[in-house]
Amino acid sequence: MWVTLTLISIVGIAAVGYVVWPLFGRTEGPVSSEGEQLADLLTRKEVALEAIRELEFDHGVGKIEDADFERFNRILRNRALRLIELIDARYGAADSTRTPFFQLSEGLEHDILSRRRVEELPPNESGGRLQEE
Amino acid sequence: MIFDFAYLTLVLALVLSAFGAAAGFWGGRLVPGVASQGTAASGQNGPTVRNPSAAWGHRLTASSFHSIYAVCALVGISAAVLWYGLLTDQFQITYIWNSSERTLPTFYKFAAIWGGQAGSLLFWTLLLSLFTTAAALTFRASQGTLMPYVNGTLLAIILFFLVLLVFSANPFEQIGVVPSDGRGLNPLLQNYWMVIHPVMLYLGWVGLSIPFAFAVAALLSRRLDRRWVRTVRRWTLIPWMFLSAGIIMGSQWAYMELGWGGYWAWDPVENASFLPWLTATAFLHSIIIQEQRGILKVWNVTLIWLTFTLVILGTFTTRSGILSSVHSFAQSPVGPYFLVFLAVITVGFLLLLYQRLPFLQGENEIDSISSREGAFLANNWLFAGIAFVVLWGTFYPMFSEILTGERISVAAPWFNRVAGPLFLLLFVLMGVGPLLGWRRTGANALRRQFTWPLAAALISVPFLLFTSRNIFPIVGFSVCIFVAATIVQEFVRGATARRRSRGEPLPAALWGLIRRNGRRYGGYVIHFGIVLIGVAIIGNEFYQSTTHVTLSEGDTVELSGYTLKYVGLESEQKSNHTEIRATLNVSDASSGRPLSKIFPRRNIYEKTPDQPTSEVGLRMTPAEDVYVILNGWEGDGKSATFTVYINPLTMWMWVGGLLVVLGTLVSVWPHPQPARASQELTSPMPEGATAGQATA
Repeated sequence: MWVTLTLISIVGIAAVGYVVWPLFGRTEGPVSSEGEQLADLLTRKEVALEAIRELEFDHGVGKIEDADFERFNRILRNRALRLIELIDARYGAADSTRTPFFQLSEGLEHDILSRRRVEELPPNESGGRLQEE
Repeated sequence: MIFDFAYLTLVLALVLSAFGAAAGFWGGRLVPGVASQGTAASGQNGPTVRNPSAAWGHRLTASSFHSIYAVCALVGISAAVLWYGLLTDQFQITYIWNSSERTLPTFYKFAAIWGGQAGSLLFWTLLLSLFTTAAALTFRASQGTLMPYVNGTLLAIILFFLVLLVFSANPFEQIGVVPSDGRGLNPLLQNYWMVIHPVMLYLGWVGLSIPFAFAVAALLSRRLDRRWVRTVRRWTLIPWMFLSAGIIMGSQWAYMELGWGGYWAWDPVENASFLPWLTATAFLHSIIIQEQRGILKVWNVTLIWLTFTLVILGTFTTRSGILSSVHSFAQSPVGPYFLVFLAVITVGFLLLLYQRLPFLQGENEIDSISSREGAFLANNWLFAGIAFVVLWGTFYPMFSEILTGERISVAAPWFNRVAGPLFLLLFVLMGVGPLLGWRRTGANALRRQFTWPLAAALISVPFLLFTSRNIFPIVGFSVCIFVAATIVQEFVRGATARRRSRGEPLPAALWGLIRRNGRRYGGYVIHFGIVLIGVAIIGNEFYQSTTHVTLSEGDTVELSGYTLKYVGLESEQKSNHTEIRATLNVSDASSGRPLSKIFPRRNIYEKTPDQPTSEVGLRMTPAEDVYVILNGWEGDGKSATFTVYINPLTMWMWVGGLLVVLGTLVSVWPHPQPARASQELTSPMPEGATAGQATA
């Protein structure tokens, strides 16, 4: 019995010590609110780019008609563009708020192209340059 | 001594999980991600919060992580001690005395930890601790705001199971006198499928706690954007895969061991595992809509809560003895604990959901009903409808007893009649969904997509009419052919487009397509597996033939083109049972060509001679199974009684189950990621933010 109590005491002290140790230790680097917001924006951008990819894929295999594709593609690209603009404005270079529109547009095309290269998807025959709404 | 020590480690784990849960929830309230939520929601650029309470929030959160690791280690020690006791025949422990015996093969001694009430609860707690540790290690860096609440929720669930182990179902309870031998493991459990199948089910049930914890964390932290949904997709798919495999293996066990000719009887405990599978499957489909379109937010958190609640309800059903089943554990005092826990998670979650409704507004609307999200929505309603039907049928005997004093059982024909048409509609949607694009599919596209699959289904009808005049299997098979054709069309069109664009040979194009679009094509493989399961069910339900005969040595019986000749009976002594084995020669009835020998058996266990188990004799082929049960014998086996079944297409159920697992693995397998968005940013990110946060 004494052996059991001694053993469990040792294990107990070690376990409790391990659990409460962080309460007395140095604080870890906090997660900043900016970091969280940026992560949200990056997620939304990722989702928007994936949605464009899905739309192109569906159009490529004939599930979306040309007129619908043009409309949805424009909406999704503008959405992705706005997100890139927002990310750039908030977290980019100091003068990024004045980034010309065509540069952002090129950035979006670069994003989509790099994604396409990696995913090795069939090319989108109708996915032309983004047209400003 | 060692068993007292193991019990005390559980007590210590209980204390630490209570502390860790409190630290997680409290820490979550103090961390800056939440404090700044108002600015995040309003879209303003909020400042980094640095204050003493935030520092305490991080300390408490870190402590909750340490609690998880410590609890996992302590529960691991307890489980290791119980395994040691089982393998070394420590019959002074009540659980081991009840669940094992000296002559039990080592394989089954190891498995006996989940063969009884207390041991299986300890095993459950161990798996939950391991899952929790894995989630903590995976998401500690990337989900800073959610993790304190995730830790708190998961530790609270662990705490509940530890309360059961410490106060109600102690696996280390000791008997005053040391018995010379144990009572033995339930004979029905001495089957290899029964060794693997509970582990799979537990991995599924336990794993579904993780997405539930993330949903609670998202609600508590008000971070109800798409991140938590993207985070839990893989962590839902993997438990779903285990649950699917567990259900299929359980069917295999019922088919081989219970000896009644079938694999699914709508038994309450079978239903208990099937119910969370239904809602988890609905959840897996509906989170895709939230991820793509930002809608169905309330529905998704409700579905994952429902899934977790059904897991706990199923466990309560199995362990409380309120519903009789071949699978149930003996009646035990854990039932009230489960009821209280169910009440807490239901009331707590619904209150939280009500408070957070303003944060759960959809970001879009469904553009058109002829869209993939439209099909997914209909599929969700059907899953919910089937879940309701199964839940109602499962608990109706209990309600009828409470209300009328008479227990009215709901048998398999009722479930087949009510749930069957819903499943048929679900299969139709399984074919329709992949043919539709997101947002809107126009009339021309619909015609292009549906022509070949519909043609395949319609062409099959005249051929199917040769097999039966019953309309139900004809419709069922046609729908299966329609779904299979849509899947084949998806693969062919995708691979053809890829081949055209890259000039690859077709096999390479097909491989590349699956490799680069695992989520989509893994899903199609799963659908194909489900189609095969559907084919097997229709074959068994509508084309099965059976006969019950007594044969003397040398006698034959004919059934559905097979001749079975009874050769004789022999017995063999095994380690803890006697095996009585009949031999039957199977031959083709028309040509007389010998096909195989089959050996239906009865096992008579020394500890439970009044409960002989049946091991069926089986000849399995893609077309049909010859399935023979030895019912009894006379005069040392000079004559014996058999039930013979011809079960068409049953093999495809097991093949379908394998494809479901394979498809899930394809779906969760990481595929190449494009360059991180962060790399395109022109300056470093703020402190604490990493690109991984976006996609973890």
